Amino acid sequence: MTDESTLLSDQVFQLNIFLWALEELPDKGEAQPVLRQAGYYLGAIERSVRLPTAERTLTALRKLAETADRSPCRPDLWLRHATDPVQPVVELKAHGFSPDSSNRRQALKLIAAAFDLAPSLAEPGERRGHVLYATVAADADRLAATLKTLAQDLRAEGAAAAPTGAIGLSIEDEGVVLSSPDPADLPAPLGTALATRPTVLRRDGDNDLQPLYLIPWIPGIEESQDAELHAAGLRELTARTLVNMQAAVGQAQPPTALPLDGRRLLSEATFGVFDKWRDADRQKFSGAVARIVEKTLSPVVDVRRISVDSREIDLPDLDTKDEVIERIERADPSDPATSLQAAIEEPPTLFDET
Amino acid sequence: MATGTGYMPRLESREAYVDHLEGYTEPAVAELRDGKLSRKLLKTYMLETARHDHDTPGLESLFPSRVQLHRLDDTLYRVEDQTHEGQVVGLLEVLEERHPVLYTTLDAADSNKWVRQMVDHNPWLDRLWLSSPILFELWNYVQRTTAAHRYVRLGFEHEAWYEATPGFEEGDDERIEEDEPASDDSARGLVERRRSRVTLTERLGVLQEKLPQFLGLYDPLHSLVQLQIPSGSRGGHLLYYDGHATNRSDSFAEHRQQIAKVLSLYRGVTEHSEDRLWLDTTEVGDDAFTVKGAPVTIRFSQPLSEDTFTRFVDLGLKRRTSRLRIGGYITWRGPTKVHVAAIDRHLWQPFLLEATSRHLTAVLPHGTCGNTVHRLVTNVQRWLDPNVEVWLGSELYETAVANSMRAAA
Repeated sequence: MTDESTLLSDQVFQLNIFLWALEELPDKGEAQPVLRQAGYYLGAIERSVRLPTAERTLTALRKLAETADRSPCRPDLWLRHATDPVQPVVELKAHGFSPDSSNRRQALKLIAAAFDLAPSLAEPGERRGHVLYATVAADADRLAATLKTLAQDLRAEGAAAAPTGAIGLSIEDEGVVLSSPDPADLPAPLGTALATRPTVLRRDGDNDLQPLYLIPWIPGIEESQDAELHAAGLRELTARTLVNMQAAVGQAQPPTALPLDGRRLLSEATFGVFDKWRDADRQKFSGAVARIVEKTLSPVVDVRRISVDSREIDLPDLDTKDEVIERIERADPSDPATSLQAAIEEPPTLFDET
Repeated sequence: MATGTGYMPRLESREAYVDHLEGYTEPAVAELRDGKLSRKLLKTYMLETARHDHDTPGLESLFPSRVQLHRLDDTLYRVEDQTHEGQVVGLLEVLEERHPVLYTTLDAADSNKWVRQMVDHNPWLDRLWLSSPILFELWNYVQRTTAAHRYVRLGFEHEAWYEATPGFEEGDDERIEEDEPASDDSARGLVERRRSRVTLTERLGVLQEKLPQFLGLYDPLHSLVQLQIPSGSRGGHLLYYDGHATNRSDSFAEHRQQIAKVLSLYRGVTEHSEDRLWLDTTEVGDDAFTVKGAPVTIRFSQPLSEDTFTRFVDLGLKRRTSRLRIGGYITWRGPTKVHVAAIDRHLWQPFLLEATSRHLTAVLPHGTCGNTVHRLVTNVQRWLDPNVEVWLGSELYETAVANSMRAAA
């Protein structure tokens, strides 16, 4: 079982806790949709927030962030509310940070950009945003102060700045709790909801608090993620890919030639999230899945290479189909022979360019 | 091979078959005089052509090559089977777009076997799974529309199959055929566990008064597996949990009408479940996305013991022979919690499952057939806990079923 403090600061865990807090669920149960109950729903994951064109804001950013970078910010979550017009944008952080940290530039840009979200939504008029950073509750107070300082710095330079606030995640006797060091800093419906320190995930005996992950893996996170959790995330992604391989074979009607495409298997295994990964990650992982297909199935059928990330097998009859399914069922997602972790670390072969 | 004379004649039109089947169960004068009824009851098997992400094969190619479908009109086919010497084993009618229905007069043993052969290894074809909440909603319909003096038959069944029994280890093969009754003692050896099989045939007025009290007293009665809907004259239409029905009325036309009513309700709740539950990502803005959909939650009436939970995971989720027909890769998250990258081993559709001693939560990707939900609910009530609460997102499954019945009215 994973150490709870490690789990709490894991961004994949944090992301999934927020997703369950926004999910449509029964009012009894271990997972409680406390944000949905407060009227919030998910607008987008990683949607671009565009910087304003106001010269004063850009000049202030150039001075404070020491960059002329005008690329959009991409907050982890963009929330909407059933009635409140203010739209919170949420960044997830393993820990808090000070005004001078390496996160300063990103936070300044987001605070400046979220003051008015209408340009990012291509809407007329104004759309007020609210910048929220979520982190472990022990760091939330310090993080709230950092955000206030950065917003004040922007305003002192004559730039518009979105209001800011912090959300803390903690694991307590009753389970995973959401709170805020100062609920008055949050948009009104969220402040009211978090003032009661609601439990998102109730503890169930000696069981691990980890919820079922809707998104088990975030590419590019390996440097900041605990090694054990990183391996577990890849194992889960492998397992989901293998069941989709089983599904492709199970739904085939012999006799047929069945393509097993790494991109398609990963897309299905991630509810389509894979399609939004960066090109480099998509290539790396889809090639790895194709190699897993080959290693898993070559003992029982002839596996043809269609491209770097696609293979094809023949299913001449039901017996072969059953044999292939059984072979996939016996694959172990933790086994280096069939795991994504091992496959993505494999050096490229002579054929990988084709 | 059919052992009796239950093959249908080779006729060329709907009208001819309707004339043949209308009043089919009415005994002839000679049969009554001789005291033996040679005619077999008409059995109906309601089927589902599973929806997948990609195109479903045409109706003809859903069946093995030994089976020929001869089109009689837009929706009715005569079904002949080479292994039955080319005899007519039944009629197939597409009563609802997703739901072909087989009418047959074969012996029950033969027709059950035939349907099992068509469905069990076919990822494109499933039975209808009339879960208890669906059958209870049909019971409500019967109460609203039938005179109190008519007889109604209700059948309940629950066996605590996953209950851990100290000192006993079952064999590996726990698969039962869908139509095997739970009273097959030979398969169960000496193990004692909770088993209930209750059939009530009673006047509707009496059942209306007593059943709510019985339900409060004895929870296996929450697992309704049979319901006979009284016909307009005498007899009725006996529906089973696995989508099989028997015409015990004197009219084929009325039987077909009742089956169409059931299908309409079923289709409504299935498509509503799919619309509500399917988890998917949709593009937002330039290259962002959002997540839509909701899980299905089955909450047990009381927590399973740790031993029972372990047995449930071992037999129900791990083994190829699982009677829930669920497989996949299991990750233990504590003594009574697992996460499963799961797959429906009949329709071969993947999904995510969290199982704990208190609940099952399933996340169904876009394209998953709603039948998976009805089958899961039916089997959980039959084998694990008869008195579960089921939620589609935040909506009670019972409410969704009742709304679908209103829409089908």
